Amino acid sequence: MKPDELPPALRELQDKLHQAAQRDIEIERRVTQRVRRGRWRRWLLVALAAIVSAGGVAVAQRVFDRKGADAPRDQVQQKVAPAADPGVIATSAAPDPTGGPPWAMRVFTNARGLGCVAVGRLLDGTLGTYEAGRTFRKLPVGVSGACEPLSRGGLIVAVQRRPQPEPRTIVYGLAREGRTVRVTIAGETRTLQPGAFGSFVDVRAGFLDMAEASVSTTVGGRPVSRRLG
Amino acid sequence: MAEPTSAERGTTRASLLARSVDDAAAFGTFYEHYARRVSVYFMRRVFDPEIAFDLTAETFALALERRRQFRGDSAQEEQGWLFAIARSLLHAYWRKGRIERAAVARLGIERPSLGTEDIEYLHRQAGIETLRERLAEALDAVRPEQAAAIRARVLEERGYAEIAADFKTTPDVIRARVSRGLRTMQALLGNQVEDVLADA
Repeated sequence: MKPDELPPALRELQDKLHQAAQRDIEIERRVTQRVRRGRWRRWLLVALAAIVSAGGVAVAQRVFDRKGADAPRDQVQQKVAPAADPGVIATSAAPDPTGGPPWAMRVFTNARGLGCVAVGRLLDGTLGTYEAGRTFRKLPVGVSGACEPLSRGGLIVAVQRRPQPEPRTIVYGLAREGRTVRVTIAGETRTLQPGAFGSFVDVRAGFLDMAEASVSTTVGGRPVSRRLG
Repeated sequence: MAEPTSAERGTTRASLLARSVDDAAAFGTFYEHYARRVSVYFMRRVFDPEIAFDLTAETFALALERRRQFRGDSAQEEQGWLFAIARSLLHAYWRKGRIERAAVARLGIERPSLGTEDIEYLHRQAGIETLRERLAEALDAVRPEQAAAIRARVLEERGYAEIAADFKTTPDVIRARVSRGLRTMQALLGNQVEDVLADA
């Protein structure tokens, strides 16, 4: 070995990093293709949802009635609430701890081409927020989102604390491969089954301590984790 | 000590790291340019080939994971960015007494084992023989239990488990004493040590 030539272990590490880079680039390429296909599918879903009759809307209104009881999570996940709002993923809907319209996500691409996620309450197929705890206002499309390259690490996660109508801590995002997502906040772990496009929303009562909070899933057979604190 | 190449000084070429976003071979070349400097940087601060190697692996694994966040376009910028990761990992090691290996695990990289050739390379490149004398002098400046742990681990090159058995404690405690003692030594001696520990 020449004096400045890297020794075997450092060489081996180079080979392994090179292979990891190849895997990462290949995953990025596939995800980009999938996202492009997904955009078409999303618009198709929106169109289908719009075609669904008023009967569907009535069923959804009963499930998500703001004054009604809390809908069980599996029920919310399985029933596709008609989302006439562009980009809203109805299958991401998660119940609020004290009932009312479920929380759901919108996915959109910003002007820089980054994948973005926004969260709000899903009422009559429209994503919005409650102002002053009472007035439901539609969330404008293409604003107020957390954005980053969709494929980074295979997991996009955002956290919001909403004071209205009651304090809530919301963790939401996209798990690229749609595998089970585990959300741990203040020592309590919830296991979520993502909806379309790997979307997930976890809503908890109060403003929780996020110091040790984390989200984990599996991407490409490898565990992927994000600390939120 | 070998002089850094013009590429290492970062004056003549564009960023390999920026290219590596969609070119795996560019990341391999990026590693080749900096592996020696990063491993020497760690070796001169932790005096332990195994720890220096783990920190080097984690530095490059993090660089690979985060390369899309790199906004520079020159070799100088990528070098600064890479060493910012290295410094952060080193300080975390000194603070916690343990090595972060999360990025290596996330990338599914199995850690290569160090052989005699690797250990000799790291000692030679870092000029450890010279540093050993300075280290022995500086040991008087740290707390006795930390000095004893450093002496056993760095100067006598004994294993953590063996040292822990001697001191009737756990290997984790010994690791913490070594890492904190080394940090104290560097803080106390400041420029004097930095002169000796200057980058290759």
